Amino acid sequence: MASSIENNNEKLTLKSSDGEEFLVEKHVALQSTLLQNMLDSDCSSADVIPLPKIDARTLALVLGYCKKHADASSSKQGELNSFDSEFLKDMDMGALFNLVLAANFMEIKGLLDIAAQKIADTIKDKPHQEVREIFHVENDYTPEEEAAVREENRWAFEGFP
Amino acid sequence: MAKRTNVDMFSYLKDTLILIVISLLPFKEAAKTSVLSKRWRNLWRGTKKIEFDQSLFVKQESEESNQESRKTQKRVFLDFCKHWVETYPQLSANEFRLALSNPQENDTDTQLLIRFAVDRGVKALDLDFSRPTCDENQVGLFELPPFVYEHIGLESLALFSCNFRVSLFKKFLALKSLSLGGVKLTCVKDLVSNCPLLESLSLKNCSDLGCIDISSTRLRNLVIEKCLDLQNGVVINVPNLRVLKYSGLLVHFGIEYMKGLVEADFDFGFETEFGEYGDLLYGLLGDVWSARVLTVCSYMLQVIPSAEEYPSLKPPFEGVQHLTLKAALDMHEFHGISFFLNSCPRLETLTIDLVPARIFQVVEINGFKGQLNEVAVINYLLSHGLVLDTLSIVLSKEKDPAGADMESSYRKNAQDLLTFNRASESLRILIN
Repeated sequence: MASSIENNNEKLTLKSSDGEEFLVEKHVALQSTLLQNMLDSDCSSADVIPLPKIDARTLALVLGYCKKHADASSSKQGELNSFDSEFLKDMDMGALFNLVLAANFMEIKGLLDIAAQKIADTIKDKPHQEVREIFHVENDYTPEEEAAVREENRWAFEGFP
Repeated sequence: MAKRTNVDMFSYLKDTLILIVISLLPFKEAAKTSVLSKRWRNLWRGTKKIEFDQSLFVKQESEESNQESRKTQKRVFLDFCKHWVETYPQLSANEFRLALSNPQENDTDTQLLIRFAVDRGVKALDLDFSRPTCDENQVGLFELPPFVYEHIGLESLALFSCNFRVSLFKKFLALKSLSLGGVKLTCVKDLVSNCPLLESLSLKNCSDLGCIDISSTRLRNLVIEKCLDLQNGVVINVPNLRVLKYSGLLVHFGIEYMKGLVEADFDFGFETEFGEYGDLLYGLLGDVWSARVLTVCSYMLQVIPSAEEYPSLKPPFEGVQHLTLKAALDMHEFHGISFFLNSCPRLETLTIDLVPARIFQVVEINGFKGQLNEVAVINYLLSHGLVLDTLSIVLSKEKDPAGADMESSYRKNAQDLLTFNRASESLRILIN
């Protein structure tokens, strides 16, 4: 029952795809619109909310982010900003993409924004060959097709090799 | 989930998620993603950050001689924009920028593009109609279309060389950020009071102002740049201001108490003569004493010693942790530099931005030992001193605690300097 969660000292349990359980305070979970909607609509009657798409390592990161943002008062914006940039610093691309997927699934807008920004910053100002290497994008253009696409958007490639 | 390496990481993301990433890139960078792979070819056309910038299509080099070809290039640019908006696949966009000179020559197209932005409900609108080659006092010939004022969801607006009606700004109930330039503006007070949520205001090259008079409890950032008609000064009652930046002529400032100022930046580089205005500057510095980051210009360094209360600010800058001096390190600035260093008891970082206008050719370092801090400063001078002619190093005569002669060790440290990169080709380094 939803009421049992509220009685249970305002905590709920989330279960990752690899079976690990996380006990989370309700106000932290509310950073996620998905969880918020589940709590609002009483469909979280189960004691444990399974998150079949998110592994434990990613979920731990997500909850760390949520806790910081739930606990900080709105006047500490500067502190949150530095937390955000520190949070993603040195994170490998695999973890970052997992974070994007998790933030998107759990509907945590702030986290999705900063993770997507980090990917965008990685793409920015780099030659496309390098971008392909970093993200393992396979070039399926023939050389002629690639030249045609460049020609199509020639204004954007001015001064670029 | 993205686990194995060598798998295309974007294959885990749906197009809508990739579009979130693309929409965070500058427009030109977004277009460049088209070449990554077939999947990316047209994805960028759905970007929610749209920036049409004429300078990417029209070359400036042959200004006069090639009027005809510039006209053709401008036509190509406008056709590109029109085609782009006609085929835009999204129902909404976040940001729209149009940078175009002489929009009145292409009024229909300009109106159409702005209409597109408003119809897609952009949060940020940026119209820049200034001519890229000259930025002095050009007053706009283009009038902001009336339908823009009906777009009440607008959060950020930037207008350069584009006229507007201050009274209609009342409709922008959601406006948080406003940036204006190249316009005649007579009353900033009304402008600010018409936008109740305004947090950030930037005024650049605005003429006819007379004075800037602002009262707001919301405003966080205020930037005033090259507004040269401020005979009656700057009067601000903005208790929650975080950032204050001013560049232009030295005018009278009336600043009410600010409880949370983080950054203050003053540049009076437009003054051509150095008068006895030390007391005026002293008063101004007293108003921003709580800032954490302070940037001052060469003019201030040279004029502040004429203040009656010189040689240090009382009470001192208790908050300043980072001080930036935009200076030439000219001897006329030395008293000012010591004034600021003496007035910042909690200073952690000192930045010196060498001003290009004032140049020096000879640097003498006396008592050199080769310690890290000495080497760091010299390295900076060598790598930035474009016209540096002579660096003269006189070694320290200090002996080590046991009384041994250290000269050969200091000399070796000094010789290491010879291998550093230097910006000036004609530099001589003398070691004595």
